[in-house]
Amino acid sequence: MGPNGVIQSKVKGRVTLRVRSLKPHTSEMTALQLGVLADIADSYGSGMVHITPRQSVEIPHIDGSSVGEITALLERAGLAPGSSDNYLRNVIACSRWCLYNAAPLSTAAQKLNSMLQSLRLPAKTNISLSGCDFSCVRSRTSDIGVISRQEVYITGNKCKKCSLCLKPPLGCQVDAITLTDDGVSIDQHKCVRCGFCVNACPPGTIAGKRVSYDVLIGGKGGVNTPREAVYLTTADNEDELVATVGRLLDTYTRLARESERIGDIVNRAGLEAFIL
Amino acid sequence: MTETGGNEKFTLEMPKVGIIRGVQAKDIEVTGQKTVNLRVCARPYSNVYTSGQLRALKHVIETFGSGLVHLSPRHNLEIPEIAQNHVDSALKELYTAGLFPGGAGTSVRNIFTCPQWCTKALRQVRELGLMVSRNFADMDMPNKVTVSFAGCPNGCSRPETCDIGIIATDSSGGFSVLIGGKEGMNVRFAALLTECASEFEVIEIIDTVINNYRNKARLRPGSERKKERLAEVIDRLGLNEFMQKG
Repeated sequence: MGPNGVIQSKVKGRVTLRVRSLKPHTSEMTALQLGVLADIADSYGSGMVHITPRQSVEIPHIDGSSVGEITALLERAGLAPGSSDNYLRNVIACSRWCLYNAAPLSTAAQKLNSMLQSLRLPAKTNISLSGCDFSCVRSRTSDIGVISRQEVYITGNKCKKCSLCLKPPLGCQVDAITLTDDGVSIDQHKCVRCGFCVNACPPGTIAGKRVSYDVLIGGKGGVNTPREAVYLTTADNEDELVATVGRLLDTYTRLARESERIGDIVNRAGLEAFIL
Repeated sequence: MTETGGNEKFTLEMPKVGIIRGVQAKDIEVTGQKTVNLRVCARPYSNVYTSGQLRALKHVIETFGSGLVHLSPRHNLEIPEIAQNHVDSALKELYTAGLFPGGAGTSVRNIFTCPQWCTKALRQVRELGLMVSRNFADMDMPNKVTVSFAGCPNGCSRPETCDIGIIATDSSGGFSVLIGGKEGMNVRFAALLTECASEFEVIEIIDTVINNYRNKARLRPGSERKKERLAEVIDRLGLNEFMQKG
């Protein structure tokens, strides 16, 4: 296995460098980082970059001998090569600016990425952190997926009967809210705690309280044997979430035979193997 | 373009498909006007961004944005926190660099093709992506439609959870076309529709699927505005009836 982030190409001596951002946020690039990437693509590569589905950037057609030089340039800008082979793939998080966020997870992604950036695992491992149930970052087909949940309750503020909490796009996705002459009510059995209605409610009749993070494991993409992740546990806060993911990766390393992915272990040994 | 009193005023002629209503991130303080997020992708379609485009983007986020750009999972770039009165100036700069707003809302989202330098690719799918993008990109649809091309069955571009996924299965030709996949609250893996021998056939099939979807999608049961995704239409009609013309 080669160094982290360096991918061999068809042409001998030429490599593709996969780069990810480590600070300030791993799901975003700053203006400075964009400039550095553009300069590197111009002077070492062929003047182009590819944005991968895991929020890293690939710079193709680089001379293998200049990787060390480029790494030094990247590190100065808070970037690093990585996210290839069996090294932990870039932990992705959805946009902090999205209206649907129950709780943005970019800081958790940043913590995980800086902690585990050079961790080697039995096989490719994707971790995706999603701020809401829509999971744009594909939490449900990742090896470890996280979805933020927010409990909602009805405050004393008077309901203005605007019905924004019922209608799409921001309204309830599972029909848990009913609007009567007396105001709104929430069916807690139907509610999936996505927190959309909190963002939608102008007078603040519906408000959110405790945020928790659902952890799902065993998802997998690929055309031949795709697999949907299953619910494992819930973390109450961000530190607990980071610790849970760390423990899961330890368990995975201990249990894996050859190059099994988390989903394969769940198939073989059942979900109990991962219950901490 | 119109001219007013010697000062060239830029007017927007493109549909504003990629402009998303945005909120400010909780850890960045921006006071004053309402801001929007701008999702941009390269047009004509490309799975790579040139260094010139990166520099244009750098200038835009420094001048009008918050100095940050979010990388989205369908190789779009999202520029957050652009004040509404700066949107047109920002767009003007982006247009000059070949970046256009897109890949949002109920439309054909940005096409995804895997990189042409991958050693695992059985054959190149970039040209196919470009053709499909020319014909269908940002086309108005009942609900969002994601199209992905993968050069090998590993499927890094996630064709198995896309509405339309195309996978190269053979280096001499040969594609599998999968439809009806979906991600999000309920995951559905796409089902194999057909095997195609040539790129021309692939385009024809995509054309049929997109047209049939436009004609046959209805409102979701119990909803007044949201229409069905491709997967739901296929569930309701069955694959054979869905593919019939009409």
